[in-house]
Amino acid sequence: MTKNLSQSLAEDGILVNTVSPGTFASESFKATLAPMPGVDENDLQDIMRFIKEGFGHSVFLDRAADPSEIGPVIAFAASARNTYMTGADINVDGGSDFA
Amino acid sequence: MDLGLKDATVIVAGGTTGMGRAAAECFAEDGARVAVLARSEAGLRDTSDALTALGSPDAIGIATDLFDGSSVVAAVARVGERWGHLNALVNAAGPMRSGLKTFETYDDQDWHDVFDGLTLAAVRTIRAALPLLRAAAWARIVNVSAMSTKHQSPPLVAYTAAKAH
Repeated sequence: MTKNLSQSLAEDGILVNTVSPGTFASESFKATLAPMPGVDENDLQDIMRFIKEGFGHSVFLDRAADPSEIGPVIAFAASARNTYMTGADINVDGGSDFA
Repeated sequence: MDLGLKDATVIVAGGTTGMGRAAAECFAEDGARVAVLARSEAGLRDTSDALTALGSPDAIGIATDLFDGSSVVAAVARVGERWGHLNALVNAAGPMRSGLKTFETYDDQDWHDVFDGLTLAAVRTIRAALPLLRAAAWARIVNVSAMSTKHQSPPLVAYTAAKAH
């Protein structure tokens, strides 16, 4: 959808992008983790260990993100400072070999 | 960081928590007018107060059901009446009615629900906001997807299908 709209809305000067976060410690995710034994929902490294063991995901930075680390990326893409990026999918995942 | 957002107009769908809230705070710190769309009245009040404290000259919370097209249209209309144009729309919400299941345990209604919340919610906000975005001197749309769309796990089959924005 983003790629399609970035093309069709270009003539209107509307830039359209996607931000793709990796694992991040949202309040709802932390609430899900809280009752689980063996994982500290307030420890970003421990959350990533849980993801690695349960889902087979690992990232170069070896920790989950705090939401405050995703927000500025969204804000830049949505800002007047972004003047030439459209149709992009911006990975904010702590580093991975995924496409 | 100066994002050039002083007095800009922004909607953040799903802006009361998580990265949507974090993005809304960035907009506020940069001096943007921010409308946050979410369901929780308490969350909206808390967020709009926080955004005002951070420097937004006009921070509002609009109770919105993103599963309901008429609710989204009404929310965006309020923004139009208030500001007349929209510089940026952020789709950070991901409402889910169905929990995570495996492929064989999702029935048709589960699939409809997941796409309703994760795909159609964004479609509704964009469709409603396009006239206001076109009316602005500059405009941006940001859709929040998920890295898990590129690295699959069995319980995320519907989530990732619907989040592949």
